[in-house]
Order: sequence, then C-alpha cells, then structure tokens
Amino acid sequence: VNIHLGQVLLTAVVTAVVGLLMTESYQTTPWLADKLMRWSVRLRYTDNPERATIREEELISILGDLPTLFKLPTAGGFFLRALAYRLANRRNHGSHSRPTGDVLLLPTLYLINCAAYSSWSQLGEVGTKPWLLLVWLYAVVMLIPLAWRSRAPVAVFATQWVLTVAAWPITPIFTPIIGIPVALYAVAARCSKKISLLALLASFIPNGLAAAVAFRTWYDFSQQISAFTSSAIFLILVAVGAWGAGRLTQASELHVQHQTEPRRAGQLSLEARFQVKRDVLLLAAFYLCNCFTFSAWIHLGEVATKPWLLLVWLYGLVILIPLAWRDKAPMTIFAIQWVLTVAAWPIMPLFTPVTGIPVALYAVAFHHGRKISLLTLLASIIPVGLCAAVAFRVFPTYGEQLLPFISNVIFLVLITAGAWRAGRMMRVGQQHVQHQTEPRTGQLSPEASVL
Amino acid sequence: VTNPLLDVLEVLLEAFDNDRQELHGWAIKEDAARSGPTVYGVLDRLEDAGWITSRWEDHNSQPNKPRRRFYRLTPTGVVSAARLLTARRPDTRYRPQRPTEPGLPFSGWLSSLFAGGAR
Repeated sequence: VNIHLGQVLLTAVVTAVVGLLMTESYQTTPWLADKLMRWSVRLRYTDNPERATIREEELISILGDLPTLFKLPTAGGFFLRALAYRLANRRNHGSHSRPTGDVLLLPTLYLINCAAYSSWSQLGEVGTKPWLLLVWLYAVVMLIPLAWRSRAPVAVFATQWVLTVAAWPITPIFTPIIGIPVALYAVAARCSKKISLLALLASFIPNGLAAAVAFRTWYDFSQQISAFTSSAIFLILVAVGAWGAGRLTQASELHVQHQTEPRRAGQLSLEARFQVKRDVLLLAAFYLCNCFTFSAWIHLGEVATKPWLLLVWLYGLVILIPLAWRDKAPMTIFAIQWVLTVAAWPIMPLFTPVTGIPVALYAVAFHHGRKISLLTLLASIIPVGLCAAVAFRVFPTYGEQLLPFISNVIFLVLITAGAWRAGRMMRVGQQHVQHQTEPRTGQLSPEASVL
Repeated sequence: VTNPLLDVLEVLLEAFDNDRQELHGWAIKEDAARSGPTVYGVLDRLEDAGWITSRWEDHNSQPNKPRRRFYRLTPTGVVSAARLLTARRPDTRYRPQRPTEPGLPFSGWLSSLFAGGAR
C-alpha cells in the first residue's frame, strides 16, 4: 500500500511540476519570441537604422497576431535568416574572417563529435537519463563564443579553457575537446608567437582532463592507463597541429601584406593556396577527432594486435582531401564523398566516415539551385543509412541493434538536413548581399537590373 | 531575379488589379506562400529599387491591435513588374493589363528595345 501511495504521490508531484513548467513556458514564449524578433531586426538592419525601426514595429505587431505556438518558431526563422545574412555580408565585404560556412560548419562537426564522444550509444537512454540532454546542450552552447574567435582570440580561448575545464566535474564521461584546438588556432593565427605558445601550454590542462575521462570509463587500471595515454597523445597532436596551422596562416597573411601592388594577382593566388591548406588542416583536425571517436577511440591501444586499424584511420583522412575543392566543384566532390562513404561500408567494419557527406552537401546547397541540392539531399540518404547501419555490426542481438540504429538515423538525418539548410540559407543571404552591392550586368533587363 | 521575388510581384500586381492596391506585409507573405523572412527580404529589395512604397495605417480596424504597414506598387513598379513577369513567367495566372507606362506612350517600346540591347 505504501508503494502504491508513494507512486500516486510521485505521479501527482510530477504532473503538477510538468503542468507548472508547461504553463510557465506558455507564458514566457511570447516574451522570448519578442526579444528574438528584436535581435533579428537589429542584426539584419545594422546598416539601416531607419528601416530597422520600421521593421521592428511591424514584425512585433505581426508576432502579436500569431497564435502562441507559432510565435517562437516565426521569430526563430527571422533570427536565423538575419544571422545568415550578416555572415554572408561579412564574407562579401572581404572581412578578415575565415569562410562564412566555417561558422556553421563548426557546430555541425562538433555536434557529431560531441554525440559520438559522449553518448552516441546513449541516445536511446535519454528517457532514463534526462541529464544527457543538459550534457549535449552544454556542448552546443559552448560553441557559441567560437564565432568571435577572430575578433577576440585570447578571450575566446580563455572562455573555451574555462568551459572545458568546468565541464569535467559537471559532466561525467564527457568532456568537450573541439573548443580548445579551434580557439588555439585563432590565437596562433592572430596573436604573437609568445602568447600563442603560452596558450598552447595552457591547453595541456583541459586536454589532460579530457584524456583523464579514461579513468572514469574503464575499471581496470591497465586499460585506464592505456586509454589515457593514447587519448593524451592524440589530443596533444591535435593541439600542436592547430597551433602550427595558425602560425602558418599568420605567416602567409604577413607575406601577402608585404607584397607590392603590381604583384597583387600572385599574392591572391598564394593567399588562396594558403586558405585551402588552412581549410584542409581544420577539416582534417575535426575529422580526425570524429574518426577516432566514432571508430576506434577505445581501440587505439589495440593497434599492435589489429594493424588494419591504421588503414581504417588512413582511409578516414584520405577521404577528406577532396573536400578542399568543394567550392570549386561541389557536385563532383559530393559524388566522390558519396562513393567513398558507401565504399567504406563493406571495407571497414565498425567504422563509416560520416563527416564528408554533410560538408559536401553544404557546398552543393550553397553553390547550386534548389532542385539539384534537393536531389543530393535525397542521394545522401544511402550513405547516411549505411553509417547508421553500423549498429547492426556493433551489437549482437536484434533487440540491441534496433534502438542505436534508429537513434543514429535520426541524428545523422538531422545533421545532413541541417547542413543542407545551412547551405541554402547562406546562398540566400549571399544573393541578397550581391543584389545590394554589385553592379547589375548580363541577362537582366533594365527594370530587373535595378533589383 | 529569384522565384520569391516573382511570387511577391505577382501578389502585388494582383492586388493592384483588384483595386485593393495595397497589402500589409503578412498578407503578402500568406498570398505568396513564402516564409516571412524571405518575403521581407524581397520587400526590402523592392523598396530600395523604388518599385514599391509603404505606409503605416492610421489605426488598425480591429480594436486593441497595433497598426500595420501597407505596401503597394509605384507606377514604375507596376510597369516594370508586369514586364518582368511577362518575360519570366509567360504561362502564369497573371496577365499584364497595362500596356504602357502612364503618360509615356512609347516608353514600353523603348524599354523593350533597351532591354534587348542589354542582352
């Protein structure tokens, strides 16, 4: 009777709390939507205060007419579009920042990494472990400061350092590892050698903590030591690689600045070459992380007995190389990624590279029309399905296989669709900027050319 | 020239034909069946190009509702939009009913001539 009474009481309390939360969220949604809409307008019309005032009043009044359920999604849509516009605007005006897509690419890659590293296989356990949502949320929120890494690299590095170290006691089993190398790269590319070296040294602490997760995940001491050592070596390599790439970037930019005007074309090609290198290095670093976490993070100590793992990782790296040309020939690169990803499935047990497809898809969505990009999105279902089907190899019984497969499918589809959507938004944003900044020529009639 | 732009122009031209002449932003969004941010982006461009003008209504006809902003095509916008739609969407429901720009009998012919030259 006591148990039944306890259950009834628990149900009543849970119902009351959920009801309260629902009511509160219902009341706070309009306020949040209002704020979001105002931010969107300010972000979108920074260069036109008069129009900003008009749009703010207009859109807020529209928001007031919408049902509560639609307020936040509508404001969110405006916010995302304003963000895409702002990013495309920065790119078109030749700011110092890296390619615009990078800002959107980072969260995507990190989201993959984050889920893979922390709880790829625990996605189905959210029902029993709701705190996992907070862990993933923390990892995503942590990314936001990285958007400002070019403007304030040291501050962003410090933020990443604090957030990574803080994650260690807060989030068991999971410590985010991407923030540090990305911020370190920015410091190395923008600051003096001394400061960047200090940052590199400082990065050993969060990296050490990330590697020390091995002591939480393994029970046997020898396994703990093996996993810790391999993780530490890997993370240090990534950190040093990011630092080196940043220094290389700074050297190349200085070199270009010191050239004279008549040699401008040569400088530009040189700069473009370095940008490609930088891009490849960044992608390689991310993919290496992803590759290890997804395939063989825990198998690193088994290389001696399973030497073919080296080939697997090599394949994972080689597959990245074509991505450097994704802006020049997006369709070809997508096709290559498609073939290489699908080919990986029969060749490599337990591992199928997942990063190539969304990155290439983003490029296609950005450079091509809606129909072609939709076709590629559809085509990506096959490699994505194969990646998810790795669950059938990892788990022995059907009951164990199904849940990870479904969760993998959902996750990968979200990532892929997200990459496509991001590409489309960037395209729209850039078209807007082009219409405003470039002189109209070519096929347009005089009337249309005004637009 | 994008599809959303043509959609919005169609809506505004139809409104012009139906003597409504002006529509508020969200009505344009609904009629064009495009997302809000897309439609407002198009409206920005059209306003910058001088194809449309906008104004606040004096007061909302519904009580306790904030005022809305209405948009309508300018005379130049009507002619240019009709010509653009005829060129880009000859098979759509919209059929331009204004052969020339008001007050300038040969302007349509001249425009088409220059348009041809630009190509």
